Amino acid sequence: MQDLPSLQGGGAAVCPTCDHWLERTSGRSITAALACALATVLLLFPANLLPLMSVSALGMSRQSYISSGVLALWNAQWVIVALMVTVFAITLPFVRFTMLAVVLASVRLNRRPSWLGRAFRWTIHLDVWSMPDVFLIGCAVGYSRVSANLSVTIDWGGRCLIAAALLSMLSRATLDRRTVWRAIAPEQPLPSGQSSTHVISCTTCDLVVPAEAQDEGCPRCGARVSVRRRYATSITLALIIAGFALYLPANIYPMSSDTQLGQLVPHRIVDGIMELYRAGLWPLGILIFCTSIAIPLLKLGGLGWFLLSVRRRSQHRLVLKTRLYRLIDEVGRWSNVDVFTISVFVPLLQFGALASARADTGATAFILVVVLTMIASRLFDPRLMWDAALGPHG
Amino acid sequence: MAETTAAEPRRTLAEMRKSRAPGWIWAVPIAALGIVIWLLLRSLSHRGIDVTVVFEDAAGMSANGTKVMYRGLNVGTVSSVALEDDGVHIRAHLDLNADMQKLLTTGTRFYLQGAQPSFSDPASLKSIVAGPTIVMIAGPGAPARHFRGTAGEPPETFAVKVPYLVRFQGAVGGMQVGSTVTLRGFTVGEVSSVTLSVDARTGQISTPVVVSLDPTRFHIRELTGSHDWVAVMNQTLDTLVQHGLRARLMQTPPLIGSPEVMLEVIPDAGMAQLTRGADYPEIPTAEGGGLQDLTRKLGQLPVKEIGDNVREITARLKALSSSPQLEDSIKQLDRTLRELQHTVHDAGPQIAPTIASIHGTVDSLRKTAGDIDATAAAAKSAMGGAAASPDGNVQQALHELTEAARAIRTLADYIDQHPESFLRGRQGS
Repeated sequence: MQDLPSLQGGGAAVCPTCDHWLERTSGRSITAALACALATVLLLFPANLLPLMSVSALGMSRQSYISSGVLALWNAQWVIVALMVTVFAITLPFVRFTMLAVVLASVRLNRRPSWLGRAFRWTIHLDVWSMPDVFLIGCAVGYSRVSANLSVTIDWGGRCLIAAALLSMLSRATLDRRTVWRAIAPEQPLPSGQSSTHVISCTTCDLVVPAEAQDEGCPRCGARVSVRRRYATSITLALIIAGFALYLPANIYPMSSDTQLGQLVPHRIVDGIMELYRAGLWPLGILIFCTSIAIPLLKLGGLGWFLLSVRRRSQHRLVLKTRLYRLIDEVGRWSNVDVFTISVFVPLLQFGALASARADTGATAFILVVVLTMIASRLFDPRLMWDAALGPHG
Repeated sequence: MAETTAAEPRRTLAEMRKSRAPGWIWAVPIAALGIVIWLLLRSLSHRGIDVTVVFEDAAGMSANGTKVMYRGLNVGTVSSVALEDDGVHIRAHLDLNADMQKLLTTGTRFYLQGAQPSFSDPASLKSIVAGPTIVMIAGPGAPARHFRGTAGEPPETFAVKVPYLVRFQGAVGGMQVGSTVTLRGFTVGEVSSVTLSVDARTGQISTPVVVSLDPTRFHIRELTGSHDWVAVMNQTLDTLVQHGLRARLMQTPPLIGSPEVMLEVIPDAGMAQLTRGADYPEIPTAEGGGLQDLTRKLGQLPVKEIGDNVREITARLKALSSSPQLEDSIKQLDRTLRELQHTVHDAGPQIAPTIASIHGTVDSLRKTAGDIDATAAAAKSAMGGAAASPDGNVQQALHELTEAARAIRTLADYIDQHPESFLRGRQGS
């Protein structure tokens, strides 16, 4: 439990236990976040309806829409990958930014309907799962891979996607969650006579409620409040075991295959990186190495380490582990770059037997690794490490 | 008074102004809205025209890949290709630019370019890989949305057709009905029919070719007599044949093209007449012409082999069938052409026109070779090259295509490098 002094102007409040910021006001504004969210929603329409880019070769031209990549995956029976790409790159960006715009507009107009807290909770939950920014990087890599050999032009859909993705990042940067929460419902001072050990903090909106409210809905955001999430360690363990199991096929099997001059050429993750390196695009090669090999491994290894730490009641490097946890939780979504890349360049490279690309076995395994580890890191509660280290209920 | 003011510090209340600082951020969603509205209006105003064209054969057309060209300009794409309800014809929906509206009339025609790749049209070879293109030709008439397309360029239309019979000694089987009849490079008619008939009693094979000549294309001056075109044409041809006009069998491009009929005035042709036969008047023929003439003159070994080699190459290229011996054939061709060079002095005058037409072909050949090469290279490197193993038909076909490009280039280079020696031969004779 931490008391926060009210912040004046720019600055940040920092947790003395784990050295993580609790509140930051510099460069944050509800108005700016609302403007960015609105612009993002508007631009998502043309980004989804117009072609992202087109390639022309041999007198033929091919266009890539966000939906055409999904359709190509679906038609090739890669149902899981197709659904995930649809949800992360099409559905959730619309849902999340529309909800965010509505919530912020209500707050700014001083309207507080009863569902406001719940809606804002959902926008926070969906934040990591709506990925226009990750999709944009996927497009950039896909563009580079194709443009190394063929001439690619970026169409209006692509331009709108770039703008929408940048604005979505800006809205993320300007959004001050605590201010929004306070605007939705102000925090109540602790009832006198109750010590700080007899209250629980809501993990979503940080509202402090009496300990008796255990397992009840948070009055502000509707999330279930509990001292610690139940079964967090066992769920995380189960998910990372599944993640480890899938990590092998994701790296052994090809992510995509190309038919080059009638011959099938499989591309594993490593091959893709080597190709980018050979094409002189080594910065992108490094990026893909980080997002596709290093980050999933870091997530699996890191979460494994945390679980071990909880089990052994380790007291070593708790601050480091907590920081690592936040890093893992933050960067996990960027692993989707490679899958998005595939869904962008597959519709472009459809030149019959000369050159055509499709997704392959590894893609399904890979996206499952990414999603499972994302869920695992979301569900894991780093405070468990501190609890375990500091003895029963520190 | 002045002293007191100096001693006491003045305190005033700061003026309060409503901050307008966050105002600029609204430029972002306003700009976004502007872009969206502009794109919406743009897509509404650029809404294409849907046109239906019925073809005999899809010939590799595909939705959103096949382009529609009008005077070399890309004016639309094929949006769908489907079988007609009759189960025979192919219905293609074209999505044309809005500005084509006024050009879509009953007289407008559509044809598939590259549906039949042929060596007489080297540019069409690219479509082996890229698929065909739909070409639109505007014409007069009332507005229309439904058209009938043809597989190749619509044949030239002739104002008047006067039929004549021609009997060639050479092989005319490959001659296309509708192919042009030329006189000094001008199109003056077309081939109406080619037939093969054998007389069982005498064992004689005859291959009569009926050509239709258009008198209006001759622009006959000092026209005497009536405007009965048949009489005028007969009269003109009578005179021309007496001056040495003969029909010849030509191949364009030389060596590998399909046979065509060419009318030519040969000064030392000897006596002949336009003979009035049973059906049509018959135009006398002259042997060979071009390479065929050479073959006859040089007779035996080397040149005959050229023909065989070339035919073999042509067959291979056309079928894109596999054979690594292609390169050998080219080498052999090179050698025989070299031998040909030494014997060319005798045949000089007859070769000259052939060389001229070869020259025209060389450039297009080279361009085709370049196109094919670029195509294959682009395809190969599209996903970062990988070592290829020779299995899979298409892979082989592409290998063959590269080989074909090399063969065509070798041929083009050779012809390009050696015309001086041909010309020298002509000067020498």
